[in-house]
Amino acid sequence: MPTSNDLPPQNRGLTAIAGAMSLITVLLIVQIWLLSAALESFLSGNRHTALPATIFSGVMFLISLAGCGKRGRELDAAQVS
Amino acid sequence: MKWLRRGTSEPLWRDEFSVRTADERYVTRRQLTKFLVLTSLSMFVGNIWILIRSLFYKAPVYPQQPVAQLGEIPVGGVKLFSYPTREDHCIMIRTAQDEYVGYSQKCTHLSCVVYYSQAENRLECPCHRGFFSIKDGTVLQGPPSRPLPRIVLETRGEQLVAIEVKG
Repeated sequence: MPTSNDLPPQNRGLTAIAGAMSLITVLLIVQIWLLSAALESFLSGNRHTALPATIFSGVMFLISLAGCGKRGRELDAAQVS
Repeated sequence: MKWLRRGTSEPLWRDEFSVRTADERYVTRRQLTKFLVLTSLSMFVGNIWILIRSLFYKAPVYPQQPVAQLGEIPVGGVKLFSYPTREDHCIMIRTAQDEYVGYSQKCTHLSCVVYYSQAENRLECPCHRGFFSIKDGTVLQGPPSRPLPRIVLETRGEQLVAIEVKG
């Protein structure tokens, strides 16, 4: 069975890009859920959930941003090769 | 968007307003990822907004307002009133001889007006069939996720006075 190392560099890059995009999409879905849950909680009078929700949302945004930067470099590498 | 672009000699307008229609409709992986990350940023900003609102939240001061006379409505009867402002419509139900409950009439789902169903002994929202308990306003069924805000009523002499909104 061929491994990712057997693939040409461009295909490896594209696989990594697809993986990064999938990760960002999953994180975004979690963030949307987190925002709606935090809003529901705020409207029902629970104000102590806002801080952890913001921290987790920020962490997920940073992971997405890092994934986007890494993905950009991989795309550039794939295009060069 | 320029700060998200990699170094290129192509002007930004050529990326976003291509000469060819097919190119303009074509979304690259890079563009899609940028869109996802910017959406992620907007979710984060939304959470920050909620955090700021939570940190600077001030508990409202409610007026004390007579809303009904004792015995004005029969057991199982209903009276509509406004509290704390004229725009906040509420419903009061006499559930027993000496028991009155008051709730906001605004459904917590999409703000439709709830009404009292005597046959089922519950508050019902006709828009999306959301049902609320008459005892504490909790959701019995349907799409609302939060209970109805409860109006705290106090008996003062022969009057029922609304003193606070809870929830």
